[in-house]
Amino acid sequence: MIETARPAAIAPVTAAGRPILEIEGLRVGFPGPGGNPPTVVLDGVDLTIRQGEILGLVGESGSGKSMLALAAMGLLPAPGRVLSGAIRIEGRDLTSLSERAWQQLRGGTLGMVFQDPMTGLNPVRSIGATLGESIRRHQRVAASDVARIAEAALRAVGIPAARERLSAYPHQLSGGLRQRVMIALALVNRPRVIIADEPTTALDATIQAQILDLLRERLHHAEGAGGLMITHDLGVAAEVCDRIAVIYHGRIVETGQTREVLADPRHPYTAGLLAAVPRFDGRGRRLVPIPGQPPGPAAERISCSFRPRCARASEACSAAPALSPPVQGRSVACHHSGGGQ
Amino acid sequence: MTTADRSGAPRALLPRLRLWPAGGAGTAMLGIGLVMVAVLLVLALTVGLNPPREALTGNLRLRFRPPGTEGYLMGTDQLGRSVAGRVGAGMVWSLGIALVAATLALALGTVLGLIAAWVPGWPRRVIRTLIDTVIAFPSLVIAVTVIAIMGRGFWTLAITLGLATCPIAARVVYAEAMSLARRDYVVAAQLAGVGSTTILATHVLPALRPTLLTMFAFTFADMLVAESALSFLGLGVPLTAPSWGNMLSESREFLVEAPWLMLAPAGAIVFAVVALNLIGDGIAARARRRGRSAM
Repeated sequence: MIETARPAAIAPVTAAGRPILEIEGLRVGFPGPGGNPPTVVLDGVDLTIRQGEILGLVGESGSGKSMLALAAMGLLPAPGRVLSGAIRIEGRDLTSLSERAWQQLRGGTLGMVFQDPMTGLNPVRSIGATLGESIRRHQRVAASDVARIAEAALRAVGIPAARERLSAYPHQLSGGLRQRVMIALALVNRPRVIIADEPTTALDATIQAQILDLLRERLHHAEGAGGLMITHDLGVAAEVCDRIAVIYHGRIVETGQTREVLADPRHPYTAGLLAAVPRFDGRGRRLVPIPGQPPGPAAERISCSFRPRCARASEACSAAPALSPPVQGRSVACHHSGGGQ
Repeated sequence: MTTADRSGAPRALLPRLRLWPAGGAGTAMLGIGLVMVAVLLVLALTVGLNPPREALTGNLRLRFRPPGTEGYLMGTDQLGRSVAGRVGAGMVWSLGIALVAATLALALGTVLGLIAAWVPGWPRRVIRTLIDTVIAFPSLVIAVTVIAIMGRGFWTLAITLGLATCPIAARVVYAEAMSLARRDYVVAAQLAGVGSTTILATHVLPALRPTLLTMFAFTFADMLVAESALSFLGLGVPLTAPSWGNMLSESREFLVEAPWLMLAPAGAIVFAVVALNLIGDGIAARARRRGRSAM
């Protein structure tokens, strides 16, 4: 993919403001049948997103990254629920909100762009109707202003002929344009937190680059807002994010500034992910896969979850490592990270 | 653009309005069925609501006149009443009961099905159990029981048939709404903070339209047959009322001497049921075709 091939264009490190989204010790699980202990998919996740910052959450399929997004939107699929921990937006805890209060937040304070722009828009409703629905829900505006706001939202995400597009139906737009519409939909009510779940996986490479540029630009422009970018693609994270958090088996294993994490991965899993990324400058170099399979959510968490696949595993790894306290913004959950590489 | 098109949208981007559905599979069936229903409707509104005197009061000197007798298109019955007039007057009872019952069954079934599909947990379990329980009994048996207790009459019959049939509609709506509720655009609407009622009304219900229309046509036909069956058994509308089922029931005794007494109401039932089935099949065929081309 193009982004991964480019030398990592590091996103500008903005002076991060105060925390806007704080996730603390979040545990999410699905109750087992007949009162068995729940299957835990997120096990004590800590994340902080500050104003003007984009955090990239990187992990494999099944690592729990999408569950984190759904938990933050209050849309965990039944019967999944938050077991403990807190999700705070500007200091307000969301885990005990009523459904009605969640509806106020979703699409308003919390905007989300998700994976597939092909199916995310109702095929029988015009773009204007879909945007209008969200605008009317969250902004007190005169009916005559709805179309104007919708048009401005489309223009802000670089859709040409925005006014005509309001009456267009999804099938009349290309994939890239549809994803722009989805982004417009996420941004139209000026959210404080924008969550993007694999926003470019369904697009081809050239469109991916455009959409990533747009996302980075819009997220940094949204005043006082913070962004959470969920991806399995380190290239995408390098392109867009100020900081990166790597998630494995429902736990954060490494966080830090994007530039530092990519240049000097401290967790063997992060290092393994980087070694598995194809690069232009590594012509002739074999890609190094991470051996084994990621553990299922039901797997034990007593020892380090990465131990069976880790080349550096030792006796110490039979106890699960905790995420170290941040040193210059870097934290790692590995017994072997202390000595450096 | 020369016309005053205030939205500024090119014509091609606006939805095209068609007065008549484009040709293709099902269109002919739908057309014929609609014409047949239109004929029934006109007759019901003219003859049905204002039946000729000969339909209700007999003339014993004119008993068992065969069809074609002057003034009596379909002949007369055992009391010298006009069979054609009675078939017309019976429309209000037969079609009316079927209409009310089918509307009730679908309306209630849709609400129950949508709730069961949308709200997991106990509401879904309660509704599903209710549906399974009611479906386990044949609806005619339920209707017979209720009528035996409540007595006869237009509304008793219509409401009983409607309630006994609504679980079937509920199950169909539930199954389809379950798949619709998982569509990405429904999740996207939730992510935009749109309320449940609005999502169901704007994203789920419109997609159910072809199913509901088809089901309405078939349910209507079923209700018509059920009303006739109950009336034939003497459990339907009051015995004096000229419903198609009552007419059939009375014609039994004169089947050999005056077969037209049976053929006239039976023909009317067949006509109405065929019309409604044509409409149902037509809509279903068109929806299938559209569904394929949309993929």
